[in-house]
Amino acid sequence: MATAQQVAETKQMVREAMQEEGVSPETLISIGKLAERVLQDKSLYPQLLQAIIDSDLAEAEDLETEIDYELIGVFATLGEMARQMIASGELGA
Amino acid sequence: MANWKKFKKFVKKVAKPVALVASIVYPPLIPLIGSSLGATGAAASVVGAAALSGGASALAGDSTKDIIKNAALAATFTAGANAIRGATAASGAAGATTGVDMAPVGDAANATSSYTGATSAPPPSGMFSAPVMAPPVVPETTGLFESSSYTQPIVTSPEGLISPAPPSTGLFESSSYTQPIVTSPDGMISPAPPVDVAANVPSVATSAPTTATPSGGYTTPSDEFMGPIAPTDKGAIDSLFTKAAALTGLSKDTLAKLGVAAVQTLISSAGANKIADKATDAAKIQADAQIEAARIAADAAKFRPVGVTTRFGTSNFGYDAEGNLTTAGYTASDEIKAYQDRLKKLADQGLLDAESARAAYAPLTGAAKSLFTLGESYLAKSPEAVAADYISKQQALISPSRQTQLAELQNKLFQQGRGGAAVSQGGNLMATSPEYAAYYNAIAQQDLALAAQADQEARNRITFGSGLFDTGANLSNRYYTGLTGAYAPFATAMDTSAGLEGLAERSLNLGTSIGAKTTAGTAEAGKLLSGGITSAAATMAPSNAFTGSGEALSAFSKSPEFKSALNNIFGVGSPEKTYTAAEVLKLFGT
Repeated sequence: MATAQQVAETKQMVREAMQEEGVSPETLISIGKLAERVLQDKSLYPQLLQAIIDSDLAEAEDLETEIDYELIGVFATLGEMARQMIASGELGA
Repeated sequence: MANWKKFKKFVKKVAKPVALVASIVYPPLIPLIGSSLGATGAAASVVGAAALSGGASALAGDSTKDIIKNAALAATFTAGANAIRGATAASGAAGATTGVDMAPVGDAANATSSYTGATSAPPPSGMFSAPVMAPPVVPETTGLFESSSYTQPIVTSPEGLISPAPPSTGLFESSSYTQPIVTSPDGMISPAPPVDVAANVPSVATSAPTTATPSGGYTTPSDEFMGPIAPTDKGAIDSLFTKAAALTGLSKDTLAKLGVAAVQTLISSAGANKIADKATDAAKIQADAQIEAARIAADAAKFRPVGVTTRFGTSNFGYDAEGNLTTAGYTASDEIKAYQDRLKKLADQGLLDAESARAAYAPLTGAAKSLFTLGESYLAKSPEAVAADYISKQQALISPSRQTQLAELQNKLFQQGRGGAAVSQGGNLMATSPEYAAYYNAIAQQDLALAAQADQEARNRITFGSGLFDTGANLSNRYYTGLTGAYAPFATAMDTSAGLEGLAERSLNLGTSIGAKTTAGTAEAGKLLSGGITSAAATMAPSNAFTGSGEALSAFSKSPEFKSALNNIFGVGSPEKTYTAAEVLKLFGT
């Protein structure tokens, strides 16, 4: 079980990575929402992959079409994390 | 399992740490993933957590060794899944449970060898994209993951016996493997024919059939690498997974995807659920007992008055279906009722009199008003004015008689011939006749007396005027006293009737006071009884809460033997102690 300290450190790391790699919080929130939708409707998985590709987070040829729940979970969590950081003022909207 | 190394820099950096904190950052996500995987209820959280955390070991930054481990893990998953399929097959086709010895099949079956193919790379179908078990311990090796198929070299001895090639490196060296081989009449060798097991477990990914190669070797799909399995054990393994599926509520397909750790967790969860269910039942039994105890105590504490009959009345009480007192009353005796009927007539008349009293006493108010007016007139003048007025009035009254007396005197003197005669009176007094002197002296005396009376008369008038006010006020008081007094006959009749009612009511009061005393006693008895019931329920609670199967499942899921057995089934690592599927099934209590 992760601790609050780990969560804070992870958020800090995500924030730094976003700045370094030029990933906007809106992008993560958008993909995160799509990831949540996929958990309810698996047919949307290709759209999630396309959104990841369009956001320049991966190349099309590197993504497998088989549903990957780990991938869904990570992007949903990233979206939620970005949303929380905007709400708390850690990130500018 | 996501291969994060293929993603761009941002995802590579954050994916693994984010996966580790997902359950804290976004708690609803875990059950959502579990639900999406088909799990329900408490299992959804377990499955979701397993799906999210299980693949973390292969996240970005993992070493090649880790990747190999995960590849091996996926292979063992494949093997585990096919073990299920194999176990359900009727024939003795090659199974997949590492470390489970297989009964010899034909002569060629004696060609036993250790093999190293257990960690063959998984098929590219990605059927275990969400593994949950911990990475198996895989020894370092080389050249074993080049393809998804495995070519098992077969050596034919001069005596015509065939056997697999000797083992290469030491992967799974402790596992023994017997590959069933059949020899055709023309000397060709081939492994036992593949079995179509899709109908048994259709949701588990299928594997490529085993085919003989022209070189004398044969290609075996990765799902057969985990070793053969005896038909009895195959059936047992299938039963094991069927039981595990029944316990966890998941399909065998899902269980095969989850792996050792998750199945262990789910069995533990099932045990915990059983314990929780039993605990709930026990709590309910205890709660029911407490409720029953409270009900008894409450019933005993209910107020139960006693019916009482006196000369003047009888008490009566009404109860609902639950024995609760809902009504209370009394019935007056006929004697009381008869008195009250007569008094009612008096009361009616008295009320009528009271109603007419206002008109009867109305003159008092008019008289009082007149007296007040008259009194005002007496008090309106000053005492001097009253005295002057008194004198003038008195003189007016006596003036006629004085004039008459003077006329009579003058006539008398004229008749006597002494009308003009006068006699000196001495001093400054004018000479006059003695009759006139006496006459005017008398008038002067009267006026002096009149003046003296005038002051007294003034005081008397003031006293009289104020007395009129007193009299008027008294008349007014009498008016209101009369009105109030007019109610007396009515009030007296009513008071008497109420007194009679009180005599009748005594039966009710007696009944309730006696009931209060008896209820206190029964309430105490009920309290003692309910306390006994509650204590008994508390004593029985641990026994009621005990669930043999639940405790066993929980303990069982934590036992190293069970984990070892699961490792066997899933082909993970080299367990310290190996169990046959039959032994594992025995652990389940079959």
